[in-house]
Amino acid sequence: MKIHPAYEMLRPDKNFPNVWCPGCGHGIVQGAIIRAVQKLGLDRDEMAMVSGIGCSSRMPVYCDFNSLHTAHGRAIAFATGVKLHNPKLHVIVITGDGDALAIGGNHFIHAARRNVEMTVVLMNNMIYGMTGGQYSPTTPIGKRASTAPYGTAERDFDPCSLAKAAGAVFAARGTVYNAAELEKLITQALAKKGFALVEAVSPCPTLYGRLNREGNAVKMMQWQKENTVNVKAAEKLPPEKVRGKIVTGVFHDAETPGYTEIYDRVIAKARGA
Amino acid sequence: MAKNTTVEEARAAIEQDFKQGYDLPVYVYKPWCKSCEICVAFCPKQVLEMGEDRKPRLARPRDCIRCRQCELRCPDLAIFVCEEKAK
Repeated sequence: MKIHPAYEMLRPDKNFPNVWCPGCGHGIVQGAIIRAVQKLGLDRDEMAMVSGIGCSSRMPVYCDFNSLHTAHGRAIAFATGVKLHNPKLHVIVITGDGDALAIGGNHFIHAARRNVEMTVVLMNNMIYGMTGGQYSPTTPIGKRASTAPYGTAERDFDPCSLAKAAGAVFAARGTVYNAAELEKLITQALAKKGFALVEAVSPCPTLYGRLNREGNAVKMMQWQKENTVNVKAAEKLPPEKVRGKIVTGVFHDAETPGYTEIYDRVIAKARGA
Repeated sequence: MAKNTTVEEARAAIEQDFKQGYDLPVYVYKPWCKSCEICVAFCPKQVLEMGEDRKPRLARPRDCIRCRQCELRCPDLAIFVCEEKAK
């Protein structure tokens, strides 16, 4: 008989269950990250988990890595500092859709442009969960939120396209329904030397699900199951068949030297080597 | 409401159960379960069902194929396949 393999990566002094609502997808993403780290055999003393503010950003509290819980939207900025100070660390940034794309939008695009070596796991639940269900930059147009009782009038961001356009080396999307695929994508992202984004579509049954009458956690995950198209299949389908669905898979995978590597060359040059 | 526990306490309780001869393929650590029903809904063999305490229980343990779908999808790390792979 064996005990849950993820337990050895949990912080021993914390009380469980975690803070997230019943059926929240963030816990599933946490499991996927832990499995990816174990699969790659990374030493937990060489890991740094950096987060900002929000539901998703509670994760470093529960994972037994070096961790940093920072100001709202600034997780990527702090992570840049951590990586430049100690380039040996594997830096994972845990962030939500509002944290990364609204409050920290500038940090996100500029870290991607600089190609700072970090893995950004962006948990997209399409709403600000912790503060009471305000609409976020990824709330689809027409969907309800506590600040948009008749539906939002704003168009939503596509984080993967944004990261690719800004210069990231890896951009992928997975869903919590397909936790095995999500684990695979995070494993690929962790192995990249550069700015790697994994967007994890994670249901918020408490606010998004209730305000948009999408039902409980099971119904929201069932919706994910029925409305997910792989990127390779989506390329062959007419656009109207892909509209409104979640396209998953690897959108962008490139090889570009990372920031710390180039910075080391600058240091060598300045020293006259 | 159940008392929150640390991972050490969870491990001790589960090991205690194993010592007392727990012999089902899947283990549910109930103090961490939030009754979201994801494991019950997505079990491909309908092994699990909700018990009277609103926690999953193994209704058909013999049908379990050890696919670990419940373990992968549990947001609270409360359910896992405890049996080693078939010899």
